[in-house]
This record gives sequence, structure tokens and C-alpha cells, in this order.
Amino acid sequence: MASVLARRARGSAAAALWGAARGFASVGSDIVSAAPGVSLQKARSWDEGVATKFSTTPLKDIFHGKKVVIFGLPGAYTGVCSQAHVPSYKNNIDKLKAKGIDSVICVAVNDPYVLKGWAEKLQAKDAIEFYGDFDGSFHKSLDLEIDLSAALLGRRSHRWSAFVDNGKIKAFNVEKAPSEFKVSGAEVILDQI
Amino acid sequence: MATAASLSLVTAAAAGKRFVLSSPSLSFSSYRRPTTLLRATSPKTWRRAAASSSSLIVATIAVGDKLPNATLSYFDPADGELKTVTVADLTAGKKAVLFAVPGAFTPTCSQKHLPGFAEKAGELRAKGVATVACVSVNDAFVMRAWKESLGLGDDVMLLSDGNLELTRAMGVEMDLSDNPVGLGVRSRRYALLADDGVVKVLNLEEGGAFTTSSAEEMLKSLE
Repeated sequence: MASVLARRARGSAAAALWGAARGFASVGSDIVSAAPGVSLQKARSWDEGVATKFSTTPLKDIFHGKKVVIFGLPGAYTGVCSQAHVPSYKNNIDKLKAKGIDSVICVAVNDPYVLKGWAEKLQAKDAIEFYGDFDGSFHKSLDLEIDLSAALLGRRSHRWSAFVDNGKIKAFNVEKAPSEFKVSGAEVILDQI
Repeated sequence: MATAASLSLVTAAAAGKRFVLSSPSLSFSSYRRPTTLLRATSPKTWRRAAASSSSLIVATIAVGDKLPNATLSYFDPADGELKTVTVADLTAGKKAVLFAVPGAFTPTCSQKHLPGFAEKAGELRAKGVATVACVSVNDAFVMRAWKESLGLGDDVMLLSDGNLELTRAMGVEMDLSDNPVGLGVRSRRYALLADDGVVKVLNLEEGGAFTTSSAEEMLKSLE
């Protein structure tokens, strides 16, 4: 499926966005204040949602007072995301924890139920926390949204990763095209921590 | 954000808006209805062709209407490729059963609606139905994964209406964006029979409730 994305997204919005200055989120900025009022939805089953009254998680709960490695990807169940991106973090979780990382988070523009199904399928639920940005507001605030309608996915996010320390972005990597997987993997960020 | 009334189980009933969370079904009586000026009492009038303008007023689909043409996507089980198909392709010159779920991986859908149709697909075909397809506002990757997670074969086509093209054109969208469940705008649950693209049987639910849109009900209508 990466080939589908590559074929259709190549040279389009992704390249243009990459050229433009990314104003809202960059190294040194505070991720929580870049996205005020935004919360994410922890991946969960419907019943878990009912039990917690569908509570959402505000960004400060995720980032304040913690060292977090967070990575975002275009969509659950799609090619590169499933075959390379998530496994990269799952397989390096011990190294990340050894460097003092409190949590590793995966975020995508999917609803939390789809994300839970995917996390279980990838057997990554223990290592990584999955959060849904179901309406794209988190990624929009960080200027990371991209229109992947050409790949039949609609409005999604770039493929990216960041190391956030107590809310401050210390490292920030965004792929030039969502089908690529060069700078947003665990190996790269391990060097940046 | 959703009002406190619609979230609280206790006061919701008093306020006259039911937000039933205690049952496993998706009963979204408090969703925002699409703005419809006219219910299609005379189906021939007031149906504009599907367009992408969000200010378009679309009457909800009704028996006797021709299904709007829209493009859906899916993964072809024959070769694993991502493909698109139009409503016209699916329905022209034949009988087709289309049913919609609010979301893959959510309860009633996963546990009853889709498997019900998968089970009855053979019987539906024996009654002359050429195509049995499930539509949801999810992308095709998610639809494929959902089908695999349920261990279903290829009797039911799983179609993605990811950009709401068909759902909006039929006037059956439900806007849950204010709702913290995290689903955004989805499709109401329904099951319909179309003959040469004209709706002959329509079982349209309120929100995500699961009453008349089952495979059993559809089979009964075909008798």
C-alpha cells in the first residue's frame, strides 16, 4: 500500500508544505500551548468508552512533567504505518525507556476504536500508547495535517516524530512525504534524546 | 461540545434527549440531523444531484428514489488492490442490498449487523440479489482490517465512503462531532434494496440503533 500512497501523494501537497515554514510546532516550542483546548482520545473499545463516559485526554496530562516520544502517521492499517513505523518503536521500546522516556505515544487521525483494533493486531498495546485525533484538530494545530484524498484517505497527518520533554519539543522530525520512512523512526529519535 | 444534558444518563431522559450508553447499541438520538427542508414525500421532486457543496439541502433518501451516484473505495479480495467503484456499477440492471454501519470496530456493527448479513448473503443471493455491500464512513484500509478481524469471507463487499460522498448525497449522515465518542460525521444505520438503482425497500434507523436494518428483516421484505 505504500506504493499507492507514493504514487498519488508524490510531488503534491506534501512537498509544498515541507517547503513552507512550519510555524506552529518546532523545536523549542511548547506542544501543549501550540494546541490549546485540544484533547486526544485514548484507543479503547466501545465498552471502555461507555465505562469512562467517553472521556478525552487533555494534552497536558500526556506531556506535563514527562519525557515523551510521540510519533504520528497517516492511518491505522495502512502499509508503512503497520509494517515499519509502529514496529520500529515497538522493537526499540527498551532502549527508549533506558534513556528515560516515560511514554511512547502513537497518534493518528482515526477514531479510538479503530486504533484499539489496530494496536491489538500489531501486538503493540503494551509498549505504545495509542491516541486518536479523530477530527484532526491536534495535527491541524501543529500544522501537520495533509490532504490525502488522492490516496483515498481524506484529511490525515504527515508521518512525523518528536521528543517532548515536559511539554517542550526537543526534537521534531517530519517526513517529506507520508509514504517515506526515513526520519521518523525510533532509531533516529534515539540519537536525538 | 455536547451539552451536559446529553452526556448525563440521568438528566438526558428528563431533557427528552436520550443518549443511551448503557445498552451496547449505538443509539444516537441526540445527533445533529442534516438540515433537511423537506422530507421526500414526493420523491420525484426536491432531489438534487449529489454535489460537494456543504450548503446543499438534500432530502433523505426514500423508497422510489434513484440512488445517487457516488464513488466508494474498497480492497478487491481477488488481487488485494485498492479500487474504486460507483453506485451505478453496483446497482445498474440488478438487485443490490446496501447496508450501512456508523463505524467499523464499534459494538452493534461488529457484533450483529455485518456478521448477520454475511451469514444471510447466500439466502439473499438465492432470492436474486446480485450484490450485498456494507458501507461505512471509514477508509478502505480500516474496512479491510475490520472484515479480517471478524474472520469474514468475501460474501459481503466492504465499501468505504470515507469522504461521505454517498452518505451525504443520500441525506443519511449523522453528525457526532460534538459528541466525545470520537466518531465525527458518520452514516446512520440502514439497509436497503435497490433494483436497477431505484430504492425498493428502505429500513433506515435513527442514529445507530439496530431494529429494522438487519439481514433477517431484509430477507422478509424479499419474500
